[in-house]
Amino acid sequence: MMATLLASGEPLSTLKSMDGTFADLYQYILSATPPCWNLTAIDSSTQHRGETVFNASCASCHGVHSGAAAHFPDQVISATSVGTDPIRAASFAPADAAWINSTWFGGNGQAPYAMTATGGYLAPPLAGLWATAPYFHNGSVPDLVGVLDSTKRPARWQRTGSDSSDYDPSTVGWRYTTSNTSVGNATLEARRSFDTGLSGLANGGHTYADSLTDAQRSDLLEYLRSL
Amino acid sequence: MDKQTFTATLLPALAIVAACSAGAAGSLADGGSDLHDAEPSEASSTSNCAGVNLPIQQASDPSAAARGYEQLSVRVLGQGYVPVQALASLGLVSSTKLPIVLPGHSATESYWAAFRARYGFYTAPFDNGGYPMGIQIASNGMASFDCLTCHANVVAGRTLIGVGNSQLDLQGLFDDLAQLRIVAQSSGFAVPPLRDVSRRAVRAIRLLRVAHGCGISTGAGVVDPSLSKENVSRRIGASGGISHDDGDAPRVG
Repeated sequence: MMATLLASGEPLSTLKSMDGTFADLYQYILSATPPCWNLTAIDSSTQHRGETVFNASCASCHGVHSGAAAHFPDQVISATSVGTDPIRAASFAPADAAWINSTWFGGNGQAPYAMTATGGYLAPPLAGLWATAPYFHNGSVPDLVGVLDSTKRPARWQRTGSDSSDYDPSTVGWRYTTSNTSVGNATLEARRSFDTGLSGLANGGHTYADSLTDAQRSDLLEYLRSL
Repeated sequence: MDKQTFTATLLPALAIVAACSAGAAGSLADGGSDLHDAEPSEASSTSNCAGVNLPIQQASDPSAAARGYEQLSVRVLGQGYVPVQALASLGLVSSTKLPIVLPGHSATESYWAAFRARYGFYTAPFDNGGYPMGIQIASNGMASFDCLTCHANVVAGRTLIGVGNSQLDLQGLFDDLAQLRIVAQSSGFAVPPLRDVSRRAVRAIRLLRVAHGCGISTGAGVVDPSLSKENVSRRIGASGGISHDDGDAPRVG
């Protein structure tokens, strides 16, 4: 946030004077809770089957979300391993971290503010996941159905609705139309169409759920709604 | 606060949505919502959602959290740098198809609705003076873009602070502001000076695009090879302050 203000022209002395304000913003973030699903009734038996699938297939990275074993492993997965678009991970290199850590913004290299280039992506806890579509770090997959089945990820897609009601509870994401034609990303109009063929916008990787059965994926989807 | 604590406490509340403007799929923003999941909540060790009992939420200071929410919603960080009149005059750029606001008149609600739809903003669920959520007027009378420009979304009718705005196209907005400067010069319409705005906007977009690995564009799809990450870093300088050797004009207003 401070870096954004820096970019818009605030001098360092002003930003330092805002330190208390940023501490308040941090406390607000701590106080926030994820939004709970309220779009359909959660079927408890399906949810529980999905939880079993999740804990067996997903929890080693994303954490166990309920029960006595609940924990968050806080794992960074290398971009090579997860297979999602690597450009964002690669764009923050050790030299970038060293540069930031040489400044006040990186705590002059001291914990807890010093930054590290990991070459990967954090596997986040999935509380409130339903509200965060489109998915992956680059927003390349419009719904969870596509996250759980890589064959159902559109190459070029555009949201259909004129407002936030174009959310589809059945797929847990945004309704969309597809296109066979690339229009690039040079204009605002073109950028309304998400083209996964463009640099940084690939939608591959994270294929861990491809090996599940359709029934398992359906159960898992219901569980993910409940998070 | 170590890395684990930081990620565990912040990530449940923050969106994990890409911020690349090139990836801001979708076309139209809506007019906001009646539901509002944003007020500070009491600290607890668990979420209320059915499937979650993650022991990852830290206690928070309620009074500080309330100040933080006030800062997010109604107070402005720093000074504004975009003339309000410029934001209201984008109809002069014909490609925007926004209504034209005549000189001396204020932008109407229908103008702001069209503005929100074009650039991916939302109606604020609190009194924001009629401006889209994420735009506030600073003490210098200029418009400022705040945290909620990028870090709030409306999903299925619910305004969610902390969820990334997946429809926002800031690059499109600043491209249009740059066009407005050209149009105003050629048409004789009186709009405030925009030279400083476009410089600051391009610099902000440039940094955001570096941060998100989106490549660097000066707008209209033209990649400027001089805008390398190394050059951007050089301009900011190791002290963290932006140098002004790039010919910045004095701040407008």
